[in-house]
Amino acid sequence: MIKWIITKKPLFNRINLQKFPLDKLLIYIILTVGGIVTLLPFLWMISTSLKSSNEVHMLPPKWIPSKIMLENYFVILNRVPFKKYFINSVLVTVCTTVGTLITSILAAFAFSKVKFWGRDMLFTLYLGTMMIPGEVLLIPNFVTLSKIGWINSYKALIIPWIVSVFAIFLLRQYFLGIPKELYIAAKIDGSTDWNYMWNIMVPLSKPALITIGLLKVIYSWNSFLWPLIVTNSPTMRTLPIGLTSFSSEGGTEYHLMMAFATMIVLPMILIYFMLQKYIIEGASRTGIKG
Amino acid sequence: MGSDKSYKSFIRGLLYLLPSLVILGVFQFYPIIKSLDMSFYIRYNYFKDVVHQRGFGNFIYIFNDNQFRIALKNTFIFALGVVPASIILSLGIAVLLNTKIKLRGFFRSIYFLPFVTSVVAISIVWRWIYHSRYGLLNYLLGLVGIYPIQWLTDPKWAMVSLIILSIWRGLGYNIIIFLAGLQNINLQYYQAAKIDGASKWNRFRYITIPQLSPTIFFVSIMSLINAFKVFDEIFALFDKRPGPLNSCLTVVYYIYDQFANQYKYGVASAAVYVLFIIILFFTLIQLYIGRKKVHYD
Amino acid sequence: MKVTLREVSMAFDNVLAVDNLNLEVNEGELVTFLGPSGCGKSTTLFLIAGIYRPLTGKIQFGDKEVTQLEPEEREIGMVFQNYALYPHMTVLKNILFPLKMRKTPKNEALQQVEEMAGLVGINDLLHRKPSQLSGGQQQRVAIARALVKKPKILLLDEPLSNLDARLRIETREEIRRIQKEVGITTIFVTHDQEEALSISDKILLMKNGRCQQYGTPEKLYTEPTNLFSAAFLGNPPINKLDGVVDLCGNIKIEDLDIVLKNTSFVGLGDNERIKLGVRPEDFFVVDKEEDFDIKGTITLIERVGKDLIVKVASKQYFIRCIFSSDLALEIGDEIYLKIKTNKMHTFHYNTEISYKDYCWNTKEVI
Repeated sequence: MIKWIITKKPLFNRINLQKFPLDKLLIYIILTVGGIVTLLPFLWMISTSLKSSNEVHMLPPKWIPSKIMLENYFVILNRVPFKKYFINSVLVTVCTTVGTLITSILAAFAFSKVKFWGRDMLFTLYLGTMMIPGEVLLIPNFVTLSKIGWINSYKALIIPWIVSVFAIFLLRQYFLGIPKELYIAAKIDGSTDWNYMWNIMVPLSKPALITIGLLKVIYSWNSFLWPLIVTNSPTMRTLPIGLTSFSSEGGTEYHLMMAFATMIVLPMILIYFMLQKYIIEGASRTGIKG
Repeated sequence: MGSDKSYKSFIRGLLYLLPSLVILGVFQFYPIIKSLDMSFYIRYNYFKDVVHQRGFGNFIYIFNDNQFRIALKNTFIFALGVVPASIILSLGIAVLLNTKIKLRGFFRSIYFLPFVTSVVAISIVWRWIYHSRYGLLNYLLGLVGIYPIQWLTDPKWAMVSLIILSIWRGLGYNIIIFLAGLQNINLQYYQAAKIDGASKWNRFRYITIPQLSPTIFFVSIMSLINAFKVFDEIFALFDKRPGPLNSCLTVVYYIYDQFANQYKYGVASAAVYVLFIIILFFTLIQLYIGRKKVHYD
Repeated sequence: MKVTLREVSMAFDNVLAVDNLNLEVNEGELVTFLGPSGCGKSTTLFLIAGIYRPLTGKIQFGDKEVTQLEPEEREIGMVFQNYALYPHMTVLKNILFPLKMRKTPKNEALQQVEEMAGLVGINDLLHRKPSQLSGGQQQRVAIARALVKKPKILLLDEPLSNLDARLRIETREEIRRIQKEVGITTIFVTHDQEEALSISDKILLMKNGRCQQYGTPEKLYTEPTNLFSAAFLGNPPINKLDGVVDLCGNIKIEDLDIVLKNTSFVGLGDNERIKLGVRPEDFFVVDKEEDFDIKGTITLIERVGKDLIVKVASKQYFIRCIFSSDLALEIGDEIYLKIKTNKMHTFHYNTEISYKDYCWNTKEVI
């Protein structure tokens, strides 16, 4: 028996060696080509952002600029109210994210651990809103905000976005997975519901909260149509809006546009590469963004 | 956890829900109705929020509006251009990624990258790639002897450009969903099929596809719905215009235009409701059939 | 603190889980709630903890009624089957948590935690997370957390069922030691009769939400009030036999086709059907020339420590007995047994209530 295995094994390996490379090589080639196609626009963006305006319009295009023009970035920083856009974007992103986390924790706690009349009905109602495309809400919300005089303010950019039903849903699932005994134990230890939520549930749900937070950060940072509609002065614009107006004013200065685009894209890419586990995990549970 | 009937616990529950309930009430529940109501506004003063007359005028208007018909047509063309290609490509890549290869995580990270980046920023990048004279795409095509194409200025090609960009951007997300679905397939099916003598293709055909069909269905509907809502890409790609000769005028762009440029709130709301009904139709199909297919799990 | 339950009932979905239960647990006692699963023992514990509210009845701690109080207002400590340690907190923070909730000053709290850690013997584990501890260590942490706020009553819900056999014995001795040292009134839920017999001051035996018997372990073992009680306690279990008794105290056992002559069990009518219980240790072996009750064949011998558990087939019936291993017994041997009739338990045929109580009751009526 033992002998049989010993004589058989090398043969097996040989078959594998002969059979696999072609298959695998093909897979690697396809995946690599796909990967290059995916990355190419990013590389092209960075490459262009570092070129001089002459080199941008040179044929054939060069991938590595003859002179690295980091100046392009400083031009953007100084010429357009970039700093203002950036601060606005950061402010809106941070506030919506923190807001979403807080409202989600509260709502998810109510939907998972507090029993009260009408709870399931309310939860269904919440879930129902996920079926409503955001476009439906655009015009009436604009009207509401103009009526209360919030147009062109941070409030307009933040307040409507501090609740995410998807986040509530995700967090509720997580909360439901926390054993009931912990709740009873905490109760007996003299903890109130409120203390229990913050001291036990929240720290235990860190992964879910990070996922929710990151999805919200990405969504807020990149959001476009809503800020486009509710802001009209440059001082209230966020980065994506700033880029579109710069691109129509900037005309053919593609090296500057690419520098601008890089500065929008880069923070999210950095966050993504640091915490992609949470983002991919979150995204694979969705269907709905934000 | 207390009794669930008491009045106290009801108040307590509501207090926890208060922040989200207020926001959802004002910015989600109310606008659904308000939006429907607004689609019937014919004569109104938006500044004072006074309505003088309601009627079906807006709906009659949009269905007689050539622009709206173009928008509907373009939206469907766009959806048909994006969804099948995107599904096939992403399914193929997901299956390849699901084999025992090295660098799996690396490839997955790369493919997913466009998902986290700003649509607007990336569309501006593509605008540059599509540049007819200095753009990367025409340069690369030139290497294989293809004449420069007027990607963004030729009405025949504008929609193609938009579709390519959207497929590129949506691929990673679909791959992630497919990968999650593939990993849920019990390996024993494959082992059993192998023992039964099924070839690789047959295993894909008779195990992967049927087992994955709920996921494929889900991704298709989701992609379709997202395709109906395309806007940011157009706005950035064609510099605030709906493509040359309205070649990329889609429904959401039409809504945006009626609302933000022409201040026809009633007309825009009517168009919104048409879009809503279309999307709702597909959402309900997804819910209905999705529930039926649960028995695969 | 004394715990008193008066006519407490509890139902889930219209099924009675606890049925009209009366109970008194004296200050400093360790009482075990024992019974098969679904008997209502955990429900009773949760009622005492305040996690459930009874449908009817009253619960008193000392002289104070607590029926409607929240768990956190009852001054209790509780240990759960799965320990319910907070997984994200270190051992120190876990034990500190109850003190933090009642806003004990930090220094004082730390000192109390240290004291408690010393008592349960986990001083060197304070900075670990629960996931880095063994089951037994987690158990100690759970006990420390339950005791640190100096509760009046300690409740333990099947605290040993997640431990392996040896650790279980060690830990139950440890629990007993700690309980004695602190002198706290303790209620302990288990389905393991051996556990209950070994550590309790008193046992409450339950079935279908009702109290079957309440008393010291000896009392439950030697004077079961009904057949269920007799059968639930003891390992191997009691031998159950059907019999017919006549006026002279002769008991005919049909299963074995024998008659036990002139027992002291008299006073019933003629040919009265009864149920008998004989514990495995209440047989002794005699020579076949001697006067024997049962003749049988050994079908199985199981050695447990210095004892032998012997299964004897007689007619169509099997009897389990325990003998000292001094006896040279072998499978297939013929064996002659005599029953210690004075230790035999007798029960009413229909109600299965012990005749000891039964006669006493009827006397009372007369």
